Amino acid sequence: MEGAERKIAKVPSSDDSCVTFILNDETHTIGQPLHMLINNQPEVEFAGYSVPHILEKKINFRIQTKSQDHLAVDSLRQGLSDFERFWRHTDATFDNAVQRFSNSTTH
Amino acid sequence: MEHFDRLKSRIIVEEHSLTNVTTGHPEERNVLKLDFFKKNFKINVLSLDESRIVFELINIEFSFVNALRRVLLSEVPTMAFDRIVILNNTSVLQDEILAQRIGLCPVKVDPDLFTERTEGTEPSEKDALEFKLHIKCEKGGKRESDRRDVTTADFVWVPLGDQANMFIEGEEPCLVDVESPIVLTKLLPGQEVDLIAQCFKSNGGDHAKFQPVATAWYKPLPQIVLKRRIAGEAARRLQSCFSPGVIDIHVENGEEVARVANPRLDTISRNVFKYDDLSDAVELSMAKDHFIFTVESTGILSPMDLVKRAIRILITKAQRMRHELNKFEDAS
Repeated sequence: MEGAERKIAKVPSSDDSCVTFILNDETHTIGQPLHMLINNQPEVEFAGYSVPHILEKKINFRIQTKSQDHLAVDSLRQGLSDFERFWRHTDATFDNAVQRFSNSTTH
Repeated sequence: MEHFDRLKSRIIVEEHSLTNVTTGHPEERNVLKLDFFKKNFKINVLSLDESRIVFELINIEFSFVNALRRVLLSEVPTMAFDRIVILNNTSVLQDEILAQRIGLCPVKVDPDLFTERTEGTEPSEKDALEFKLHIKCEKGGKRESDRRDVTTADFVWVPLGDQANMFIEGEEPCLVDVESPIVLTKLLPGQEVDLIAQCFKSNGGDHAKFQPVATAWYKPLPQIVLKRRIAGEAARRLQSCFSPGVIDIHVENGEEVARVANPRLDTISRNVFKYDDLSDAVELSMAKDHFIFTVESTGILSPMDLVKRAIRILITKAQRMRHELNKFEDAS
């Protein structure tokens, strides 16, 4: 089935505000920070992830939002976008830190 | 000496438990808010040389720090020996043992120049690196000097295709020296090793030989507060409970008194709880949002390069998933 090849699949549900996504080829590396970020979103009732089987590299990521107006997929998208922005900021901060360190140690 | 005024940013370390792990205070989640993060996140590099970097991250959530560590260990790719064709091996080590040893030797070349190999295709200049090893220990006597060590310095790079033009002189692919070349096997007079070894690109998650770090780790910033005056023999005992440099002794009115000198060096070992008379005298805690991160390289990439690549992998991960999400929505 095509779903097995895709990065993101979805457990079928009739309600778009409560969805379980299957993130293929992902682990706690993205699961943990992503669920912390999404849980912090005001429209999110619940966000959590689990590893269905340790021998299979995938995670089940569940998002439940507070109202039908907010789609779970939008929360996931926002979470991923925030994740990316956190790391871009970390990248720049790291560059500055290394620069400051080399400046302070060169005589 | 550092003092954390806000209780909510410290985890208290007691003899049998950790307390104050979450307070439920909304400010605790500030580090997960992008605006707060952009304004308050700091990195300070504490030390840096060719093989190791130590830096501290302030006002960041632990799951992000852990993500960085996980990526450094298992997702930053390198080249390592993955296929070895043994033409002759009369050394004391069996073929497979020698092959395994060779596989673990770090190969100093920029992994970005290569792509991952697809199963079933012939290795080419784009995804493989080839080395030849042919050493024969000449006939001699039983003297120590007649023997010969086969080391990583004996490998000769064999450029495939156009690879000779890819590298400038002096920067050709080679094996990493760990202070001196790594000994792979030892030959007696008359013994020989003749093999062709190929490197492919993969990451630590596939096999530990591809790991570019030797290792990477972090710890939360420790804090130690002495709740009362500790003097005399007890002061010496207290000093021995912590790593060297954490507690120092100074003389006050002829008595030796303990004071906290450098809590950063502590490993949060909780040894102080061994002594009943000292257990109540010390308050140990660790920060929730302040970490000291160390990256040690195996020699393939510089430690700064490693951190940058790991961050890049995390950014790409999120980008790819968002892209997939959009495609997936179009399909459904």
